[in-house]
Amino acid sequence: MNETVADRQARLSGAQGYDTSRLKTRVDLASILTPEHFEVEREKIFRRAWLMIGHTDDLPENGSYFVYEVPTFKASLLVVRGHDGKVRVFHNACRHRGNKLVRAGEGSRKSFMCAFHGWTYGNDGKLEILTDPHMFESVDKEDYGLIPVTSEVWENLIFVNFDAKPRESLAEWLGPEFFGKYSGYFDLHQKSASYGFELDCNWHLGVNSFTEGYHTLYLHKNTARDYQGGKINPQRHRPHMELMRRHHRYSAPGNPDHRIQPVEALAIKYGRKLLPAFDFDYSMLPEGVNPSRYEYWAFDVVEFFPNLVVIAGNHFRTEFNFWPIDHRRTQVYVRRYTYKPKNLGERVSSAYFVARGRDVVREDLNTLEAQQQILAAGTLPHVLLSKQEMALQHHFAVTADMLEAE
Amino acid sequence: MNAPAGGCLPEGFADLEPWAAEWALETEEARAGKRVSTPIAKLREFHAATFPRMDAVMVYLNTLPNDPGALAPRDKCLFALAQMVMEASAPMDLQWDTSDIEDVFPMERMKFLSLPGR
Repeated sequence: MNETVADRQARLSGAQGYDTSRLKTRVDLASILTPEHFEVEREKIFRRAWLMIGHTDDLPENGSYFVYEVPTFKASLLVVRGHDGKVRVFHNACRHRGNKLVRAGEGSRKSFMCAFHGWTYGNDGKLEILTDPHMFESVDKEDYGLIPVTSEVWENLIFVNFDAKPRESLAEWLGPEFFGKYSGYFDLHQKSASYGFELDCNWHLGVNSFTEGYHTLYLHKNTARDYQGGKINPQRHRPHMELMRRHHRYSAPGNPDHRIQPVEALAIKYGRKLLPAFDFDYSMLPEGVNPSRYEYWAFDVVEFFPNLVVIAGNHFRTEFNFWPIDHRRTQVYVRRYTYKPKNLGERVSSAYFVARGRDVVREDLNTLEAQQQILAAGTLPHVLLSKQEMALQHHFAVTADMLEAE
Repeated sequence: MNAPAGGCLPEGFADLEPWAAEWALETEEARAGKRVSTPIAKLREFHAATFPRMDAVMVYLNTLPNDPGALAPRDKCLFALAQMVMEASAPMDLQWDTSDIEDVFPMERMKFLSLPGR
């Protein structure tokens, strides 16, 4: 078969599980960046979506917990593994007068005592101690446990749903392309870096900057100049693209002719290829990862609509959460995962890739606030999206789908 | 890092001792800040002195238990220095004229978060 990667992407563009007539190559972003539009998005997209907030391996033992802030709903969540091993998510709020039970961070506790008046909750959320109870008028402790947030776990990813009554299960939300197709994948890696920062831009711009490969030739010329494409695919067209009802994923093409540099060579000698060189032996990975089994596979880019992007590689992955604070500010969390090291040399080796990956991400972040200023001012009638940016076309089509739903 | 008397590195790495006190930084945040705040000439000097020794460093580190939290102080110092060699490598591997690229999201705006569960 002599099909080029570009032909393949063009062919794939018309053969998806999504109604491609919904895709638009011109998007009026100025009207999407308004406060009024965002208020509707918060209720019709973010309240109805399953949103990923962490991993079960962030809770290594019974009693482990972490606090997770969701600025979109001004919510503070307490995520806990109970004495029974079950992971639960609660509003991080004492039922008495609303003090935050845990200010921030993570740790392990048998119970959570409010610093205000000593009310104490078990790590299963039950109110165990209500201090000076006889001074309260007819209070049953059973009625004053921590307020749960609907949560479900897929693989080791914890998702929450802020709807009073979720319209679909997590399995329905993710769909058959994900459920059962990533067995063990998220357990291959461990967290090796974690960053947070606030951006002065709308959340759509953040998500969009990580879901196309067109920019990589230009924006990453200083940090990863020959990591993708190469002679066989100089424009770095995606060898695989799937548009689903809500989510999408595509594969990025590695460059089999990447020139390994001296320190990179040392990192590979004592570790594995992560980036900018890639290990093209993906035979051990589950079927959802590199789903087309592309020979020179670099990594997949997966958008879990609306606000999670996972760069899913062989020996690494990176996860980005984009939480809108309002229509023009976004809280971003980035987590870098690398394979579980079996010696210190592999840990040092991973530090090479973590440093390189951080600089690549810093380049990705650098257009967003500039774009926000120009686009929010209404300077452009529309942004123009190519076939290379089909994932963005899909993102805005799904946005419209959800806003049109009753 | 406090250097014990007679330097901070394990036996066999005395030649790297002049770099240890300032460059053996234990956290990613400290190493990243060090790279972007150090003039390129100094980064090149550090690289030239340390990189040729990295094979020996890696071979030595691989004889130790795979648990950074349990390392003896001198081994911890060498482990941190080795990670700094990786951190400082971008301008060398990528042939930059500067310690950081221009027109990029500023390092000081990235908040380095803790790693729960580790």
